Amino acid sequence: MNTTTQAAARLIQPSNLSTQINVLPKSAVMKGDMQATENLSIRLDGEYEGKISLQNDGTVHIACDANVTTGMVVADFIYVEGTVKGDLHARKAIELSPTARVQGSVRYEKDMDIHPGARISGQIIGPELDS
Amino acid sequence: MPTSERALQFPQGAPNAQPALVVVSGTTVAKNVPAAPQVHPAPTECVLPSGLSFKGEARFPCGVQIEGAFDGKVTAASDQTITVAKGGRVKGEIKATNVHVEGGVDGQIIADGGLARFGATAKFTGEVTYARIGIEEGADIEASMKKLTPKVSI
Repeated sequence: MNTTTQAAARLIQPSNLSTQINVLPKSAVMKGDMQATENLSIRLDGEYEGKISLQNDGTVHIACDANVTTGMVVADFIYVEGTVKGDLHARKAIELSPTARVQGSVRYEKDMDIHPGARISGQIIGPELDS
Repeated sequence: MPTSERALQFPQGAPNAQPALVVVSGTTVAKNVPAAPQVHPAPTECVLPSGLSFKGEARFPCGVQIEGAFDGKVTAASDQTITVAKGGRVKGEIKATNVHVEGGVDGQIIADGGLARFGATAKFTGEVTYARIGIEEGADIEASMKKLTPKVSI
């Protein structure tokens, strides 16, 4: 059995993930920009190219088969299990699971959790050291 | 011993420990705890929820329900249905085997080989290409219609 993959989320709360909406299933492709005008959480399983911007309390869940190429993903919570090329900005918390592969900058303003096995190449920008 | 078995299962993978996922019309709701994502069955229909606006191109292997604002081109795999729900607004092109409109569409609808259906709350301006068409009383339509005649083999 594969023990390095598929750990459950431990920083991102279940309440953030339970209301997520399947916006992009596994073999779907979306190219463009996505913006939320309400507080909602989304889940991506397919290929996405473009920007994503969510409102308050929103979680972007990039599932393990997802492949996101982006200029910027902005949300309160970001849970990455898949591949991301681009910049991630979590206004609250970001969590990278063992299957996460991120190439680009990761910016978070409160908490970050990186599981063993996750791969990041890029800059990590956290909150001010003094605050 | 059952208890030690269960304890062993926990680190192995959440799927054994988590309750089953309940899939309700396209949206997936985890019962108690975050579901291990890999157990997710492929959704039969996905949703662009109201409150989400997307601008660009999208291609889906499954049926799509559009409840938000979509600006661009959306295509679904063959035999699938694209539904524009009552609050949905699409500007651009919709291409699928069946297209069911209950919301607002401005642009082109191509229901190749299937049914283009407009509900009573539909509002459509543009062009529709269809094999079969259905328009309910109350639908607000200002469009040019073109019927695709299927090739008949003799």
